[in-house]
Parts: sequence; C-alpha cells; structure tokens
Amino acid sequence: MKIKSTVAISDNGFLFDPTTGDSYTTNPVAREIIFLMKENLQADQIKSAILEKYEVDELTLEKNLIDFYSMLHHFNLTDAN
Amino acid sequence: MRINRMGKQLHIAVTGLNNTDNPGPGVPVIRGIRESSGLDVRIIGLAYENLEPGIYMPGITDKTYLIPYPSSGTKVFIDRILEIHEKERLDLIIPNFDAELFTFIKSADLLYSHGIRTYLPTLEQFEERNKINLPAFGKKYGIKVPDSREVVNEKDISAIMEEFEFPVMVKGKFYDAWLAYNKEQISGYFHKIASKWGLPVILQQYIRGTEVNAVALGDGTGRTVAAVSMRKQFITDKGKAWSGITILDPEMAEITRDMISHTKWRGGMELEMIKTSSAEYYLIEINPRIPAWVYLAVGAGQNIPEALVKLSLGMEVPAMDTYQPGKMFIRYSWDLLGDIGQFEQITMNGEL
Repeated sequence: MKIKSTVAISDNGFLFDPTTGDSYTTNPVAREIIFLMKENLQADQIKSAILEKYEVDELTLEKNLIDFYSMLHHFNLTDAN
Repeated sequence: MRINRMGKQLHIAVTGLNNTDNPGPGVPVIRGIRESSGLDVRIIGLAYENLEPGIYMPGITDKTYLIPYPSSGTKVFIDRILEIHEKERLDLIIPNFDAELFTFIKSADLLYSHGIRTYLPTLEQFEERNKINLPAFGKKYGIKVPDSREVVNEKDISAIMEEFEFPVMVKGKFYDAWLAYNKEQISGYFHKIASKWGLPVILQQYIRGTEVNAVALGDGTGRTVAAVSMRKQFITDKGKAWSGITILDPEMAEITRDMISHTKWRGGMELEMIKTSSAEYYLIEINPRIPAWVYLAVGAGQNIPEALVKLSLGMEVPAMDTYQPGKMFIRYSWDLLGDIGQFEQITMNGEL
C-alpha cells in the first residue's frame, strides 16, 4: 500500500490532502509509519522497523497496522494500486 | 510600467460592496485590482444601499455613488450610470450581482458607445446556464446535474414531489437555497423565495456530498485564463462560505476547463459542484460572475480581477496554470466606525 504522493505531512504529524482539502492529525507512531510509507518501504519493512524500535508483540502490531492501513484507505489517502 | 489609458488612470466602477454575512464580490474584486502592481486605477464604487460596508471601508473605493436597482427600469438604471460617467469618465464596469447582469449584458453595446467597457458573457451564455435551464445545460455538455423542476404555483408541488425524494432543495432564480424535508417546508420556502426573488422557484434533487467550487475566467475563445478550486470549510446558515481552502482537484479542473472550452465563456464564473462519496461530480449551479471568495484565488497566485481588467482592455493575458493548494480564507466581522456626516452625504447627495 502506498500513500498518495500528493499527501503532505509535516514534522509535527499534521497531514494535508491537497486534492480534497482534508487535514488530519496523527500521533507520533502514525506519523512515523506515514514517513516510512513516503520512503516507499513495503509493509513488512515497516513492520520490522516498528518492531525494532518499540516494545510490542508482532501480533498486536500486525492487527494495529491493518487497522491503520484500512483507515488510510477509508480516508482515500492511498493510491489505488 | 503601470497600465493606464493614454497617460490617465483607469477608472473602474465596481458593484457588490455589501460585505455582509451574505457578501457581494465587490470588495474582494477591488482588493485584487488594487494589489496589481501593473494597474494605475481609480475605483468607483456603485452601491444600491447606503449602508453597504464597502462604501465606508478605508482604502477600498476612491468614490462611491448610489445607483437605483435594475428593477427600477433599464432606462433609469443606465441614465444613472451615464450620469456618473459624465463625472468620472468610466473606462470599465465590473458588475457583481446576478440580478443586475441581464441589464448590463443588454446594455453593453450602449455603454461601449459611451466608452465604458464591460467583460461579460453573452446573453445566450447567461441564459443557458440559468438555474431553470440547468438540466438542459447538463445534457448538452455532458455534465451530471441534479434533477430539477420549476414551480410557479404552490398547487404543483404535490405532483412534482411524486418524482422526487425528500429532502429536496428549494431555490430562488437568483439567490437563496433551502433544504426542505416535507411538503409543508417546501410551501413555506416557496412563498418566502417567491416574495423576494419572484417566480419561478426551483425544486432540485438533493445530492449528498462535499461542496467544491471553482472560480474561473474565460476569454470568449474557449481558453481558460484562470481557474482555482476551493472547498468550503465552514458554511453559514445562509449557505455562504465563511472559511474555505484551495484544493488541487484534477477532475474539478478538467470539468472547469471543458465547460469554458465548450461554452466559449467570456468573463468570470463560479462553478458550484457536489462531489459524492463515490467521487461523482454534480453541477448544482453556475454563477455568471466572479464570486465573493475570489480574494482566495488572488492569495493562491491567480489574480483573476486583474486579469479581467486586462482582458477588457484587449490586452494579451497568458493562462495561469498553477496556484498554491492549502491556501485558506476565514471571514470575520469587524465593527467599522463611521460618522453621521458620511451617512448624510451618501444619503442626501447619492455619493461619498
């Protein structure tokens, strides 16, 4: 899953979609994931990066990532492919 | 180099100085023109009411005249314009009210014969996009429009509503739009709108979604000189944008360009559209003039009022293809202090 190239995210986690005018606030972990997505990292690479940095079990992280990706998709912040 | 006419300032008359909670576009149009580094101008305000805020706002008009409503009759209206022209040597008039556009379009040749330019759509373009003709317009140009019916008699509402689902929009031919959830509400809005704006009143299918608007300028050849899209962020109880943000919506931009290309639109226009959750675009209205939020377009990088002035003078204006997304406007109210002497002058002499 790729975040739309037009979506802008600032260092403090404020996210803006210039095609719709919608804006969102993200927490630090969400911000980090979006930055990783912007660097074109694949889902498994993002999972590894987060697992390495935070104390979280893989199953919980996977569940939360799936939720997060569906939320991005729901808000139309991802590319179709 | 500052643009003027043969060494003299350009004298530009502008209507729509009612910067109220239902604002006219006059003040933002003037701000755009004044911010142009290339135009050497004197701004003449034309006001219908003696309490239009633009009359009193510092730095907006150089001089303001009261004019009669177009409903007083074309002769009375144009005679007053020509009377002002004798004093002010008007080079251009930028009308900003839907209700006055018909009179200005019809009188464009007469005004031009006196040396006063306008930059307006043709009468055919003006009529074609009329709310009443919107379904035919959509069909002709392949744009989705909500189904709508004219109502001239309250008795017709029941029959029409057999073809519609609630809620439904009840609209005036020039202004006003209300959302009605039952027949009683439709009747109430029908009388309210009819008494203010006349008949017919329009019943329009309600489309759920996000309202997105575009302000654009066409040069009459099918070329889009400028176009900026905006999403309303905060809407007043009158349905007016109190806050908005520029967006880069490729489909909206394409619809705008196609519309200008097919209609060969001349002058400013505003497209009001609804984008549904399935990303379908419905055209709900075309306003045949610059909208009140045009200063957002100026701030985002497209000075549409300045371009309109230059086009009206026959100058070549390159198409403006880019603008800054994420530019916002927020309206605010501000108590402007005036003096009874100013009010006396505009009331008694018709000018200030």
